[in-house]
Amino acid sequence: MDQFRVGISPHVRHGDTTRTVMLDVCIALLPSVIWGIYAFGLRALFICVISLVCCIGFEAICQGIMRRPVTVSDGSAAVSGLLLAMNLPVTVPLWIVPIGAFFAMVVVKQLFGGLGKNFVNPVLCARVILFVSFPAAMTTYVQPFTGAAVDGISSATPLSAMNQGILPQDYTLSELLCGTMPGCIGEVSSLLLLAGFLYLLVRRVITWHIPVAYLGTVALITLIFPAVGSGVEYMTYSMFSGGLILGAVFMATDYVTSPVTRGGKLVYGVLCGLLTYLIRRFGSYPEGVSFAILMMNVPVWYLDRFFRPRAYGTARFKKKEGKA
Amino acid sequence: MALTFRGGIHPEENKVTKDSPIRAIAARNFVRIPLSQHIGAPAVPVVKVGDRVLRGAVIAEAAEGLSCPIHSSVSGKVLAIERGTTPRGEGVGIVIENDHMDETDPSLVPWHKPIAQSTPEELIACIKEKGIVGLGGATFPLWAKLNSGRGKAERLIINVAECEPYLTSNHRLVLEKTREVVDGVKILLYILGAEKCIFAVEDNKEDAADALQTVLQGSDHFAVAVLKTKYPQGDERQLIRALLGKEIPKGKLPADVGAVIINAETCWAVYRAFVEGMPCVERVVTVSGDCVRTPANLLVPIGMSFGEVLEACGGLACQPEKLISGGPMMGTAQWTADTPVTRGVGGILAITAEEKKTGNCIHCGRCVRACPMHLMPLEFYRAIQGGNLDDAEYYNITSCSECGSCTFVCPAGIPILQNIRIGKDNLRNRLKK
Repeated sequence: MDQFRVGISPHVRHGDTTRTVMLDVCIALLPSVIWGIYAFGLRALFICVISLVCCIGFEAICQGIMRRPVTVSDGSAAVSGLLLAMNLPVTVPLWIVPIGAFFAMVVVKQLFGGLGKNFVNPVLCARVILFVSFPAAMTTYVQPFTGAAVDGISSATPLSAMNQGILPQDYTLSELLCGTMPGCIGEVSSLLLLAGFLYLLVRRVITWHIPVAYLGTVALITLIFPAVGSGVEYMTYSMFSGGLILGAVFMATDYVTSPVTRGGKLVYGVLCGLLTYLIRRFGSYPEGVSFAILMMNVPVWYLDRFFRPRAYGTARFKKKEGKA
Repeated sequence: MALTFRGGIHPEENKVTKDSPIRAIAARNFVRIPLSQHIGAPAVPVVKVGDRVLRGAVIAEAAEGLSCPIHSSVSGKVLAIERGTTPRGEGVGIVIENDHMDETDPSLVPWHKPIAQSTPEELIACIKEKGIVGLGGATFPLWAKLNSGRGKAERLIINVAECEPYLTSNHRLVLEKTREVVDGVKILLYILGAEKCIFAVEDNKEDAADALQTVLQGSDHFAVAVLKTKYPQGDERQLIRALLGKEIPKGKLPADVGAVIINAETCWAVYRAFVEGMPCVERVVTVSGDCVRTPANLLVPIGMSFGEVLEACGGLACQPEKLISGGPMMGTAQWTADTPVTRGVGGILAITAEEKKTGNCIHCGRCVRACPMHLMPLEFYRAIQGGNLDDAEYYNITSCSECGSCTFVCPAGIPILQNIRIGKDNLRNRLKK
């Protein structure tokens, strides 16, 4: 019995792995995805499947070509696949999906070194690239339950109406919450997205800081400075239409591109909220979530560095111990 | 609500031996007693090969400066003085052939006068003579700790947190020998001249806390504090934070915030030194892990090999991957079962440790939330992998207490602590230049 493995402590590890974390994110996304498929029809399912296959496939092929270990089994490509599909309108031409997947997985993720090395969110970056390259295809939305054929009747989203200075009164609050309004496949049902948020909190996959700071900031600022209608109306439509909740809960909290310190998370969330409002209010695009989060992805490392927690046993305001 | 600190983790407790009473086992034919069982200089042998020694007799004297004498745990003949493995690596040890007569040195007698009529200096000298070290695992010579704490200590904290998974030796000891532990504490209180004494017990050992309450009834000097079960609650920095709401400034000792922390078993050793005259020649060891047939708490003579101790527990049920001296979080993995039990070995674990595959850091921040020193372990990993020592320093790498919480929680299976140790080493080397 004289053969034992030596190794540094600790000798026990927690059961969670990258894969279980990614699986939890998938589980949290699932209700919204299923709602999207139910509301927009089988074509939505088709887009999800293509997106999943393309994301996983591109990652594997790219890693193969670069002679890196193939790590698609960690589940991160699957999460990207789901999220990408959720960020597309159901009417989108199918050939657009692989283009998005290519940009997300190859250009943004693998070329920067793979999981954990990209400095912006791959899915959001892909969405923005598609959005500016194919503006018409990416903004043709249909009413749910109207049969989502490619030639379906396109409808204005509440956000695009507000961008033109009109208060979209055709939607009740319950419709906004449930998601019976036009929008991308995975962004319409606020309630189910919030259920996913709750799941992630309970499973301790994410903390409350970023989503609460983000949503709180948007709520507050739209309440005080409404563009159209009363503060409460403007706030309600701003909060529950468009990609705000999907973005705040699932995109802004992407581990790789968000801060880890508490202070950093709160400031990041607040600035995301502020930028979202400014872009929606003063920009020419109705939607500002993707741009806001992408912009805030860039200074994440500096936020964390600035908000480095005070180490145990060191003074609170003593800056730069040693040579920093 | 139970007292606690910010950060930390809660691993599977696995305290399967918490109901098994401490059982004394006898040494086998040979014991190998290392000369270095404490922090400081190794002891200097005073016996020659061929000498007959008695149980409890000094076989090696304390060296100059920080050191501690070593005593024989059996009666028998000195066979060799040679290098061999120790739980912390390698060192010289004295091999004694046990004659199984169990003859105790007749010069070992109880302390000759009432404690209250002795001077603290005399008592500390006796503690040094008996070779008592911090038995929680740090093995800092107790005489040195008492000397540095005298006059500064307002509070004596008795550490019964035992936050490492598996280990139950302190728990059982306090439960079974409550009065003896408390009597040892009283001697220490007298030496330190401290006002107050707090027993710090985690809330998974309510029965031990109750036992202490019963014995301590009616004394204003003593208090029993119940702490939340969380690792590393037993680390002195976290203990001070939980109990006193203070932090020990970086680079300082508990005594600098008016506290001296002593492990419960150390107090029992003090009791035995004064009341029985017995030096530190045996200690309580939790033998556990999924490969041990009948896990138990044993009173083990110093110098028995890990293998012999495991045999006293029915041997191994399966081939363990790791044999660990101490707890699974901070213990040391052994390469051979010939390692002798020393004063610092509170546990022997034979486990089938599952190793995680190492992936990329996904920046999840779990290590930041787990760090009881409020550091950013992921930045250490990044800095050290990139060879950027300045950055590691900016993020306070020298504050790391090496508890391993970050590595425990990491979903990517990154050996963060290993990197931190490398970084600290590199920093030290750079400072030397």
